[in-house]
Amino acid sequence: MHIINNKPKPFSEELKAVWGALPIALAFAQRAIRIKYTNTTLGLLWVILPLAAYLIIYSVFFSVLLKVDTEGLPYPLIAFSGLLGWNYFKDIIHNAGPSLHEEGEYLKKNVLPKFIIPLYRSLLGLVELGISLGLFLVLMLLYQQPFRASILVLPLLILLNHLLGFSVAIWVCNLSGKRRDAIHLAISGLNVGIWLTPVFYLPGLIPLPYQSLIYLNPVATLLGAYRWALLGLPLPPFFAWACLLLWMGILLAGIRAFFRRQYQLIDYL
Amino acid sequence: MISVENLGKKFSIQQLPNRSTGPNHEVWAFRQLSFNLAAGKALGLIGPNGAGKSTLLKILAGIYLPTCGQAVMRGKTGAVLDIGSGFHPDLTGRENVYFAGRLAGLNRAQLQAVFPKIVAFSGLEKHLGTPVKYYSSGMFLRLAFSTLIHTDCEILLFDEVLAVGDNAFQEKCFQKIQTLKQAGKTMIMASHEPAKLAQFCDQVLVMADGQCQFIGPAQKALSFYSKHYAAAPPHELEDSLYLNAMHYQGATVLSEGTDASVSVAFKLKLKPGKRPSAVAVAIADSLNQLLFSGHVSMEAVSLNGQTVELTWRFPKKHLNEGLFWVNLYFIEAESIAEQHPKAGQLEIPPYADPYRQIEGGFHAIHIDSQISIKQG
Repeated sequence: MHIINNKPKPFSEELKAVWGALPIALAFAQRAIRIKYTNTTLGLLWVILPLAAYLIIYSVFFSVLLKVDTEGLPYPLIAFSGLLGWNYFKDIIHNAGPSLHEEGEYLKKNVLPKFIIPLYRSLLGLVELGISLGLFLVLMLLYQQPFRASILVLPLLILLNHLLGFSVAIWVCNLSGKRRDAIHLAISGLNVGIWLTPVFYLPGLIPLPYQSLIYLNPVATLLGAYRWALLGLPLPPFFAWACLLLWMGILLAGIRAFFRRQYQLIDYL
Repeated sequence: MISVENLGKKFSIQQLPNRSTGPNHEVWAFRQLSFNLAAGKALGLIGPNGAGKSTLLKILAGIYLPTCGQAVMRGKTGAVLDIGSGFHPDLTGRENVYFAGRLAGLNRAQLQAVFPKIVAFSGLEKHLGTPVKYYSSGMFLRLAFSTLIHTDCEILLFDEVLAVGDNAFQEKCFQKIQTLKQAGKTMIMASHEPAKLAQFCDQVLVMADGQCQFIGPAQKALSFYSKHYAAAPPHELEDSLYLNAMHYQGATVLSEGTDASVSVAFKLKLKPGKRPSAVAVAIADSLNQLLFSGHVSMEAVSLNGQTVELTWRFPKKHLNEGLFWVNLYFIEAESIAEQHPKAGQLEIPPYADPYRQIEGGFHAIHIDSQISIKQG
């Protein structure tokens, strides 16, 4: 027996419903990925081509023309390691942020926990991330870089990367009910954010007194961790991790707010 | 079992052209709705567009939250609220069935077990490998309906979907719905077709203007709906070939008792120089199904734009209780040249005979007949 009324359900009950529907989210994601690459001639090559283009452009500008300090590492590896985490972060926001608006018609006609929609959309970037990681390892071999044991924490970093992206995406969902401004803000924010994040440079580029400011940005910490695991660069400082932890609080609050607001949101779609 | 108490849903709608000035405009989709539906029963929802039928179904399905009131649902709820919106056009029928089944809460093993049954019921064996974008809407319905009824949902909600199935499939659904009801499944379906609801439902809820206007046994509720919400639009005679004016004089019951008869009268003002070769009057029941008619030749009427009075008499006993429509037809060269459906209305009050009352719940027309039982 269940009762339908206008009182919000407890957080734990909502989480349980989402947990029960998790196989659905995976099936959704699987379906979306298959559809994305089935009706194309080049298929998965579409992951590699833009990435290669970025790498070449960045290498020409930052390494050849501007001669950015790379702490002795080949520049393409620096740019690529930055793009790994950044692209996944960006994909999550791009895919999951506007998901309620894009799948509003579906949500209004089918019965499923609404959280499943942003959740499955946030998983779509995993394919690109996987392929990019594979390519990165190949590039490391080509540059004769040693593989370190720290590479084993990679799954943990990917999880962190996911949570970080999702914390932004879920707030975009929460705030984009009646007006779509939050979606535009997030996408423009990403275009600005790539410059405020050490994606194609290292934090060392920034003059010393201001250097630690960059770690207020949790993505900077994440990218630092990727570079530590893959390239053996030093880990970000302790306070950077504290900032990151704060961000996890924002994620939890976002999920909570989503559960509270989901029925208001759907009325606007 | 479903028990709905004082349920209401309010939408606040932003007015786009002047959204910076005007406050949000609030609309109650429906309010103060209460009803109970026992397990194993089917409830029909009928009402004009915008009456709140779909919103009610969406609330019961758990898509929207009500603004006030509550609904208690005993059992898992499944819904087909739209044809094929749960299906992805690029995936095949088979993949979509698997997906819809998972969505309805079946696990992999359960799905494997019922898959052949779903396919057999839908009758789409040959098309399972085809992406569903090539399906017709009837095929979508077959697949969606078949999937839902094979899940373990105890409460099934259908919005306006059965109408797209062909007759054979609807007949199959009708039989299946009966066995589902016997198995204790509860159903609510919205439709604009009174005849379908009369066939499928035990009870009908008439919704209009955001409120429950009537709830009761199907035939009675549909009669109510027909009387208040399915009336013909005002008859426009501008385009009429023959008529300048038409006036329905009403129906009267002549004499009482078993040989009572009903007399229906029209006053017609013909256009000068125009005259159909014959005129017919017909009776239709509240589901708008034609029952019988009477014909008369017009050859004798003069051509200079006269007013004619037309009276049609038939034995009252042939009609069971309820609401009936009177249709008017003009016939030229043995085919209908012009028709005025629902030109008039008449209502037969309940008969004293209890068997006639039961009969009235089933159908509109009565014929004296004998039925006997021999023992041994």
